[in-house]
Amino acid sequence: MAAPVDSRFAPLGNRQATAERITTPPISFAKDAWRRFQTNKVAVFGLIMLLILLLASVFGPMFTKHTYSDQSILLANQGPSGEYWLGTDKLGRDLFVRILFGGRISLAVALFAGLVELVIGVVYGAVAGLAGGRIDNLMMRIVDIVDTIPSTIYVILLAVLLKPGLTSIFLAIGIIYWTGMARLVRAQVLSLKQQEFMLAARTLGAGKARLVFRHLIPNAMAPIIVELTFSIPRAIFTEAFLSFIGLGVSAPMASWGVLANDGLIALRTYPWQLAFPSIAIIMCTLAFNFVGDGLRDALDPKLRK
Amino acid sequence: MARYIFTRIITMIVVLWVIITATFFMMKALPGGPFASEKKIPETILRNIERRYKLDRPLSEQYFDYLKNVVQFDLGPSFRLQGLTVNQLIGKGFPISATLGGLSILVSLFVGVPIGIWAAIRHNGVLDRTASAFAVITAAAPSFVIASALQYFLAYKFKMFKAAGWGSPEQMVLPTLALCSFSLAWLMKLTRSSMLEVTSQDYVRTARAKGIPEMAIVWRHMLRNALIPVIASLAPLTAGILTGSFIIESIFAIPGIGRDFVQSISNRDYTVTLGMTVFFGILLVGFTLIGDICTALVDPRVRLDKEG
Amino acid sequence: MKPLLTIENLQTSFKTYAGDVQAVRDVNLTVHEGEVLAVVGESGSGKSVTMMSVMRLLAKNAKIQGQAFFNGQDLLALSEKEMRKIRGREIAMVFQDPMTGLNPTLTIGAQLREGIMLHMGLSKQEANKRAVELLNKVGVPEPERRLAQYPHEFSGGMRQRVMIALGLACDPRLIIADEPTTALDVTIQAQILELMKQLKKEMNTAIILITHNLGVVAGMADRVAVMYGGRVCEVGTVHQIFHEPRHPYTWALLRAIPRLDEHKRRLESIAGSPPNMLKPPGGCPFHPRCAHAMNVCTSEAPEMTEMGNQHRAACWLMHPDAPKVDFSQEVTKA
Repeated sequence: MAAPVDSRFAPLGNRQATAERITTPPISFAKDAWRRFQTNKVAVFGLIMLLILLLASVFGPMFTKHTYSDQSILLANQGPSGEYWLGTDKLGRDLFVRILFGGRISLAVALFAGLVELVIGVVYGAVAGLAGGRIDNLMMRIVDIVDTIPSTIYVILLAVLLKPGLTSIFLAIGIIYWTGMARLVRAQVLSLKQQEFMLAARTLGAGKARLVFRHLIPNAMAPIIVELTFSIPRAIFTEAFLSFIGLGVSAPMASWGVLANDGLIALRTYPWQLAFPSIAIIMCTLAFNFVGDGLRDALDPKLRK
Repeated sequence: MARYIFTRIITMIVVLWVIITATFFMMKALPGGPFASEKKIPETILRNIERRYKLDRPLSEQYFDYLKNVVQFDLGPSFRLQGLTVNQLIGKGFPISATLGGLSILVSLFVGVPIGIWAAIRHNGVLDRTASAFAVITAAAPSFVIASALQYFLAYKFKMFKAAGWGSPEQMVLPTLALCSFSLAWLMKLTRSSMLEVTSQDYVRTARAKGIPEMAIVWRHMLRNALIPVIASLAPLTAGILTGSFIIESIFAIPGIGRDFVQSISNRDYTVTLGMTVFFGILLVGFTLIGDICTALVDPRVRLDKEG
Repeated sequence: MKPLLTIENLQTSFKTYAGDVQAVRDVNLTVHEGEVLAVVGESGSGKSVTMMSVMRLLAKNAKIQGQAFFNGQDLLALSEKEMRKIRGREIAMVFQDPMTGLNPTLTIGAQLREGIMLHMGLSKQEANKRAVELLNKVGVPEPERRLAQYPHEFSGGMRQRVMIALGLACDPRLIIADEPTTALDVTIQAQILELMKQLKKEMNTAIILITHNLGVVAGMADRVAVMYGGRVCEVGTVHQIFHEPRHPYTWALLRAIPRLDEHKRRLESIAGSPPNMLKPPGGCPFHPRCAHAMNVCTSEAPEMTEMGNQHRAACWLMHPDAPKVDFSQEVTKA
């Protein structure tokens, strides 16, 4: 007599089709990185702060009552009030709008300095990395030498050398500080050159240009962007430093560095004149640092979920 | 080891030469001579001065002249401060700056490094979070902000320390604190992340599997490896302290070479600027060399790799 | 043979921000004195985590439940201090990657002496002597000179020998070797395995050999435990596992070995991928990839069925009501 068939032991049959199914839907790298960035609350906060600062600096001065150069000697050195939100400086100028305007200058300087660093650094690093061999060696020796030179001093000298003004400042900063970016780019190029996906692309028939633009650069972008994010606050600091030494932009234009410097002189009696620009600098630097850290974590392909 | 040191020394000499040459040519390219802003000087006197300072010779001759002098440690006379040579200026100001800088480095090292180690061992503990938050904020504030804040609150408002000058211990506290703030935060972050990285290394796991007590592991295995990047960073650290001293000395009215350097720029006293840059260059190159030697001493991979 | 280490109802999970990763789910294993037990499985099957749990070397976010009896003591109930006395002395572990497993800033001698001086109380000279003996035993030439050298001056194979010497340093009763040859070239692999066989004969140490390489198992093991998805599928002697396997996963593993002596046929792989240990499949962990899966396999985990002679397998096919499968066909299926 046949034993009763227990339904528990009925075979499930062939599930070959479902076995090979890939369970997570494909997401592009950029979208995945953005998602990861969003989960980092500190980074998002930094991004918001940054956007606020940017918008305030660029559009703010258009909407204020006073311009950055309006003077009212009689109302000089006043504390914060309803009329002048952050008080006035020694020439009776509205500190609030001057700080907003200063934001434009400081951020512009920092951004352009970063771009100069980027261009010089990327070209230099990419050439060294792609060339390889003795050329690479030589170029790196040069970088080593440039690195040992006390850069800040040379920024100073360069700033003195070039005609005083906005352009010379960011040129000076960019020309001296490119080595970090160069090393980074070279390291990226070297490691990517040998990776198998490059070999695979060549085997599939990709030409040199396609290799560089479609494969090399997108993969190298991540650390470059992160480095750029960190070089901007460094440029702001350096610009403030230069202003301190007297090499900043000329009156009545003012960057945060110049404002801080002016405030320094009056520290004892009118401390807010230093405090407010300093807070602006600190907030901006923090914002960039938070965003930079967040970007670094978000763009690391090894952390992809 | 010997070969490694030899190569480094050669590199350093090249660096020095580059520094001297670059500085020289930059100074020569500056617009307006040192006397450009003076009121009109009669031609003949101008010519005399030029002859005295050898400014009328061809450029190449001036260059080799200068090179020769530098090698003999003669950095020339100051243009502005009559009767004073750059050497003398440095001689007066350097001991002061060295004390300030030295103190700052010591404080940064002996406070920053242990805190970094402790923060890493008690990862995510109270000290770790506080120290990291502190480091983040300190790093975001330029040195003059910190210096002024200290000056304002601790000297003016609460009258705890002196606000300016140099010589007595009370005068030394604030400048040292201000100068070391950035490097302290930086060293702490570096030590902490280096220790954290070392903690997850395989050889630490091997040591634990051998039953070695945790303190011995920290001391014998982790620290030796974690401190390598810290030692390697001493050179850039010194550079930072050096450039920081420009601002700190100016704010706190300390008669050191940092302040002299800043003043020489606004005064257009070119020989002083030039001479001091060369001096700073020699200093930094020296520290870089020391840093390299120390790294080789601590990391056997560097030491033995370079052998023939 | 007396049992040396008995693992009972071991469960290990890791708390992560994504949830609990259940790496080990109800593992029962025994190792006897002087025997070689091979623990076989894919990456992620839980074999390393099982051993690391027993040695209590896991990170703080690991939750370990169960018992591990060694010498009458439950290792999982000991204090950290007591556990440290056992690590390196009674039970030693040899890890996978010799390139990163040694401290690059300490000499080999210092690293060897460390454990010896700690556990055996020898002086520095005595420890040095013993270190030289150990290096001789593992086949490192010129041991006296080598003591003063640093890890990066050794080749990969030599470094793994040093790791083995570290394991042997205090004459442990049990050595756990976690994939000791995976990171090495094939020829060096053979040398290291020969070395281990020889040492086992000389010193009568028990060895737990964690590996995913069945060739290594065939050459060295006395008994074999096959793991999948954090559970043990089958345990038996080497002969039983290779010639009379009873678990579909074991069949699949054996079929997947490329053979040189048979007609050309397709390389067999196991369809599908290893389970996600954050949300493991219900019932038997292998059922999504098993050709013989039944309804019950998706809902209830099978118990270990004794087949006599210490041969056990956890599969619903062992149940009297299950459809009959011709076991002998399974391994040689074309």
